Amino acid sequence: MKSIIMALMGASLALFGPLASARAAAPINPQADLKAFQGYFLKRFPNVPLAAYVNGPYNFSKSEADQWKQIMEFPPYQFALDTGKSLFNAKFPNGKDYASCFPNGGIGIAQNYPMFDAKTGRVVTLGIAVNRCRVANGLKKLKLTTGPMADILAYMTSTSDGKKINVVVPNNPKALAAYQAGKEYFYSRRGQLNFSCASCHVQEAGMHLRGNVLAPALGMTASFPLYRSKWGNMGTLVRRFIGCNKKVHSAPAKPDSAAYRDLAYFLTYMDNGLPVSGPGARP
Amino acid sequence: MRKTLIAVSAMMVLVPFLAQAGGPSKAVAAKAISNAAARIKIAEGMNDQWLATLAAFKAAKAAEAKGDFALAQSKAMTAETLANLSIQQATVQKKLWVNEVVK
Ligand code: HEC
Repeated sequence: MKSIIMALMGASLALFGPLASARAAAPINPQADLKAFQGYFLKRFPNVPLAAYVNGPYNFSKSEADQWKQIMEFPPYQFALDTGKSLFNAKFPNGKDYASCFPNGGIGIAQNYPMFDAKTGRVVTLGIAVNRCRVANGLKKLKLTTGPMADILAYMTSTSDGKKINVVVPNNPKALAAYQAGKEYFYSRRGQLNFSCASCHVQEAGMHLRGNVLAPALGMTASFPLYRSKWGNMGTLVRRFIGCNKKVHSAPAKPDSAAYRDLAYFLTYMDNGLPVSGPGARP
Repeated sequence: MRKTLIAVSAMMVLVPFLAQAGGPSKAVAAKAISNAAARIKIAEGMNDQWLATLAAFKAAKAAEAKGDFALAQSKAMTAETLANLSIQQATVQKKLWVNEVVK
């Protein structure tokens, strides 16, 4: 862990130096990015097939994979899944329900999120869409990180199990800008430790950090929400963003901030074509 | 016993007072805090706030509330310095992030 941090900090100090020069800004091309991103990992880890990336760390650590097999005999997210199903199907006080807010009654649609909303010009994650539905029906928003929201998302995601992730970046300047902002967030170093998401999840992917395997950035979004033994309960993708920001001594953004919406948009787009496999479980 | 109590309480009243006599005033501390707050806002807008910045700022506000203006000023200055560093980091990253993109 220490040596990784030192090496990365050394590299980053070099980057801070005056000699480093930036490449000219390329035009925004999500499709080309996707090809390069998936190609990078497939080439680097030739033994890991594309669809297996949804299993994150389990491709890279036999002990974690063994632990996982044991865990999955009694999936720890089962309770959340059942609760989420009841919450999802319950009627609102006005007689409507979540199904009324979504295409296909909210079943089998998780693979299409985050989605760009042309009306507001913003990215909408599935969690934010659930909250919009609540507000439209006179209910309060739910916390986006854990609790009932994670349960509802667990159920909705389970109905998309195995469907290919299919995030769309339409040819709309605001959608392209949101995608690009997410990409910039992912690759920018921040926090007092001067790490980017990519420092750990691209450059150091598959390596160990404090006993954890650093999951490759490819496939990372596919198992959310997930039950994490360390949390002792369910967490959504933004909960993970918050935790990883803090790891580098950076103050997390707000769960519904543009920064996290755009980051989720970019990261999930990079997973296009991989199967949804949430809810998941992690040590 | 009584005497010590009186002495101790006298000190408790006097020491902060004496410390302040030569130290920064309430207004100076408040200015340092508002300077830090302005930089913190910029850092936040650049998506790069450090936890240490917020911790120092919180300590500055707490010291101010307690009337310890010297400590408030020094914590606020620390917060401002840290915020400036993160702003510098974010500014450099605006150019350099493209170097980390996978090809
Ligand atoms: C200092 C290294 C480090 C940085 C920087 C970092 N992470 Fe992580 N991340 C980890 C570690 C370690 C884990 C897994 C184990 C754990 O949580 O301790 C993880 C787990 C994750 C996971 C869950 C993967 C899975 O399959 O369970 C996601 C998603 C994630 N990080 C996203 C991000 C994003 C987005 C950023 C940038 C904002 C980021 N991380 C920055 C170290 C890092």
